[in-house]
Amino acid sequence: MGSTYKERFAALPARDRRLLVVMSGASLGMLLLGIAGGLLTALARGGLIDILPNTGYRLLTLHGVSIFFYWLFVAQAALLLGFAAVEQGRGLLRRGLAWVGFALMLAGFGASMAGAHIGVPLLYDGAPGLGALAPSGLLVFNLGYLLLGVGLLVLPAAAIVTLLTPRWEGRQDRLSAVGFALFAWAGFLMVSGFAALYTFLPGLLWALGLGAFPENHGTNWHIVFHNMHYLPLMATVILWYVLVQALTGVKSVFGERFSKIVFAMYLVFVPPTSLYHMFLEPDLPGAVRVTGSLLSLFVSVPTLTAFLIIIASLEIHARGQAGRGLFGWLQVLPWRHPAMSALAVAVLSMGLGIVFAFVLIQERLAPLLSDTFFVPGYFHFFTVGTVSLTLLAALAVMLPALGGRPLWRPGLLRWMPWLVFAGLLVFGAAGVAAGYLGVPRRVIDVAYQGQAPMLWQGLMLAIAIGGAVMASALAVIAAGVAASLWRGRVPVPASAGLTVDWGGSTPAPGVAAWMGPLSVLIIVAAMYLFTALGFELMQWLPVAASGGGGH
Amino acid sequence: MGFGAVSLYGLWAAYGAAPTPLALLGHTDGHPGAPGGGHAGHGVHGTAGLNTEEFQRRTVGFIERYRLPDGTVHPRRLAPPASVPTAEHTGADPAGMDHGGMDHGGMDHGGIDHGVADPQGSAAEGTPAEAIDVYLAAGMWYYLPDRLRVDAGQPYRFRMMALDVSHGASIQFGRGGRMVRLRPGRLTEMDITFQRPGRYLIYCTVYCGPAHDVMQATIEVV
Repeated sequence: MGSTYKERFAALPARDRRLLVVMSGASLGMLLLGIAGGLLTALARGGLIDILPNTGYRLLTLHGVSIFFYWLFVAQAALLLGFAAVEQGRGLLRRGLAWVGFALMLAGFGASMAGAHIGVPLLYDGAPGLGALAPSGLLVFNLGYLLLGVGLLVLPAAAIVTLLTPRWEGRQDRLSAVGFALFAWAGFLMVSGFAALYTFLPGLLWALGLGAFPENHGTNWHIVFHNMHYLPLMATVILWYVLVQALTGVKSVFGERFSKIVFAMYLVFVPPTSLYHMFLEPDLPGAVRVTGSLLSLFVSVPTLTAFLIIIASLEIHARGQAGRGLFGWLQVLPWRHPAMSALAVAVLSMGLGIVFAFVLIQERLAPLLSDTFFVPGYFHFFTVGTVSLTLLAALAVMLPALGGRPLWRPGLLRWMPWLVFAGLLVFGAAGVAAGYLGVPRRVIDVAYQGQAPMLWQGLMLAIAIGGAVMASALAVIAAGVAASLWRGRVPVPASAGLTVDWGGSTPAPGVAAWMGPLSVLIIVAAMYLFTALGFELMQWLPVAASGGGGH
Repeated sequence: MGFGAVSLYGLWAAYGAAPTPLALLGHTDGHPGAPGGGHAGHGVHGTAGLNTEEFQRRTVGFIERYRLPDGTVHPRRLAPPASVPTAEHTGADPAGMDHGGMDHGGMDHGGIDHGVADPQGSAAEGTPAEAIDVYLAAGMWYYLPDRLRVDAGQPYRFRMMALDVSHGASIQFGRGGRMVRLRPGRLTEMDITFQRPGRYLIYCTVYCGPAHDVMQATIEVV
């Protein structure tokens, strides 16, 4: 077995590589489809293309379903299998399970796409009340998520067997930090699969006439979706951990045990923090609101802790190479590799995402911000800037190694994450501002027959422009990574000179790493600022209101 | 790790969104305000179990009672009829529309009780700031009523319900909005006092189907 990830991927059996290539290619196709849907939706909202609102909602459904459910989870599944296969050096075990799981997910994607085009557009949450107008559409739509859920229950089993077999055979005492993280990741994917079944099976049974109307779909959806979009953050920090190793050779300076504790923290902190999605629900008791507000503040604890570990480890090693001053060490990072740029943008986006997430999850600000464009304004920092770019960075490392081919135009691709970030900043800034002003999300035409403030349309135009830049750059990265699979390309020698190897170096004692703590301080300060802005706006509103609870 | 739990508390307390440390220790009444409209609690008014049909009936009655010639609905304190029939006298449903749309206070008459029965006990009699009930029904893709006129400074109790699927009944104030979610068949109540005259948009902020974009109403504050 080779010592670098590149060598280890290249050494995998051909059948493993075929599976990983097919899955990765499928995930990239889903991403490109979702990007197209999102781009058209943004252009329609910005008034740059003229489509019927119903068409806009179909495009929004296509966008949300393709990206949130299929790109994120099929790409995660491919990367989980890939890194599990190389972790123990013997390739994948129970490969058949992986193929079955992938086939189910692919069938689910087909059903979801069909469901998105039948009956009333259901967006990505598939509210059964809307499906009542055309139960056949809800049936097909939910069938897609159920197949995805079953796939997520089956496929990670192959990764778990691959990771644990050496222990079962007595050849390994304990899992490495990466092995433990992969094991936890596989478990969380299975939990997500089960949650999808729990949420969408009642709707399917009702559509078939075999069950009662799923009254609790809204509550179940909020809990499931919270976990489904925070758990990819765990995958993200695991990938940061392994990508930093792959790009620089650096491992955590805090030891493997601490890393394992941090990865396990996701299980403790993510599931109980889902209540903030329901602060506007009429039926939510007051005690639950208070508890939810307090718990929600802990949602980013594991992500921030993992961030501190990774940044500190990288900074300490980089300072041993060169660079002076607070930022000097950044210059020696392997910026020629597009994955390094993607990681940097992912970290910056995560910081911004956390700031706005902390504003949104405060119960007292829910009447101002929930259901507004603040929500997509902030979560694109996570889904695009943080998670998608990290997944693409990992694919940019894994796929060329699997195919023995060079990454397509790394000189061009390394700038694309920054272009994504530029578009994201415009999209996010306009989206957050629109949210503070009350612009609703999930509306194609925000004019309200001339009754809405004129500023709304201007903000939607900015969102369309930012979204177009972001989508175009992301599509270039996805296509570029996919091009690395192109059989016609000429294989190159193993060393392409895009990475560095500081793994053998020992950090000098007493080297300080300030970037991580400083970043957290900036995040806290910004969180204060935007929270205060929210309260100021609420106090300005020419209304005194209380209640909103239901009976 | 615990910065989130600790650091934001100071900001919440400063804006009255959480009790101050002194209040927690019992040195003040410690009643946190609701900046611009939090989820401060309010009483339950004996309307649990109100179904969509009954809510529609009350809404229609409310509109008929307060409709102006131009179609706008202006809930207000009406001059008392010569002989006011109370629920007891008429045998009407004590939670019925005839109460719900009734002017509850005596503002126009110096706080004098009109003698109108208030079987739900939703507001103290004779208080000058007694809330007037406003009914708002939301359906695909309309509000009933869709044109409201209210008086600045007058408290209102908005009683809202989605009749078919989930809807929103959010209010836009130019620089910000007040978001409201309505679930089908669930009565949602909110006490609102508009402080400045103006024309405000009510709009649906919960996706409800193809014509979601045009689901809107207007509140004129005079």
